[in-house]
Amino acid sequence: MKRLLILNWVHVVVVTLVSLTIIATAGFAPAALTSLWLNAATGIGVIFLVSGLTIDAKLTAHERADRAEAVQRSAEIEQQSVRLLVWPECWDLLRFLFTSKVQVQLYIPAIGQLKKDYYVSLRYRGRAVRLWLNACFGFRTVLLTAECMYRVFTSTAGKVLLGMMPDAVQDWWREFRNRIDPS
Amino acid sequence: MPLPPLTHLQFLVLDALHASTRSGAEIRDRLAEHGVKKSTAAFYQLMSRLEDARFVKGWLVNATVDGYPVRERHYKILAKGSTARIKTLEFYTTEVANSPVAN
Repeated sequence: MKRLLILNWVHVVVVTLVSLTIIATAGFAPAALTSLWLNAATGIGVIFLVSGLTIDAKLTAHERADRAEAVQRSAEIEQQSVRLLVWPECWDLLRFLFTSKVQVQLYIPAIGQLKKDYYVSLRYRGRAVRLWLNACFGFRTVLLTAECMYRVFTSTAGKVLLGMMPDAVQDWWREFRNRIDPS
Repeated sequence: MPLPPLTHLQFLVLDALHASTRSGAEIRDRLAEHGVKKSTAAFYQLMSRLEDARFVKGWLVNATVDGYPVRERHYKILAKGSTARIKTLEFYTTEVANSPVAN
């Protein structure tokens, strides 16, 4: 790109110099010499005109190639940078852990807020920012899933399931519940 | 007079739904105004229990955030919920009126 621009400028300077030489020598040089100069200048002018047009054409083609290269490069950078994980898909898959009632009444509305935050966060770019966002969403996903599981186990079906467990497990569960939810 | 059929939290939720249909997020905001700090899952469990008791009816609504689809749960109060709310209101009104502190 740079080389082509330099050639273009050289072309302009040479054509100007040749034209000035022709004008300067028109009145003083012998007729044959003037004629030779004029023919040579015309020839050089034609050559430079053609080469200039070619350079312009090449420049456009080069610009196109340059643009394509820039697009490719930005795609590479995008690939190399940290992407936000596909959290909505993760959340949709995690819902199968729960019964349909828990899904509809508890899990799906609860992940609604997470999804809103996720879609808002899509506008942030950059490696560090996205690493941070992935960490945040990961943390919140674990918390939410654990809490939903806890809610399932405190439901009637969970109590029935717990009733089938050994006494040690039931005691541990009661103690655990009292510790995290004294009310 | 019999005890009120609702807890203070349930009363707050039904009171929020008394005027109009609201989304879960709006009800949570209303609870937050009264200093109730409940996690998302805990809140929706509370709503789930109210649905089971047929005090409220909930349904999922497709909303969009920045052009992306999100599903919100909306709630409306049912007749049983409205009756329970009125009974609770009457209980406390009567109790406050008959309270020796008020007199």
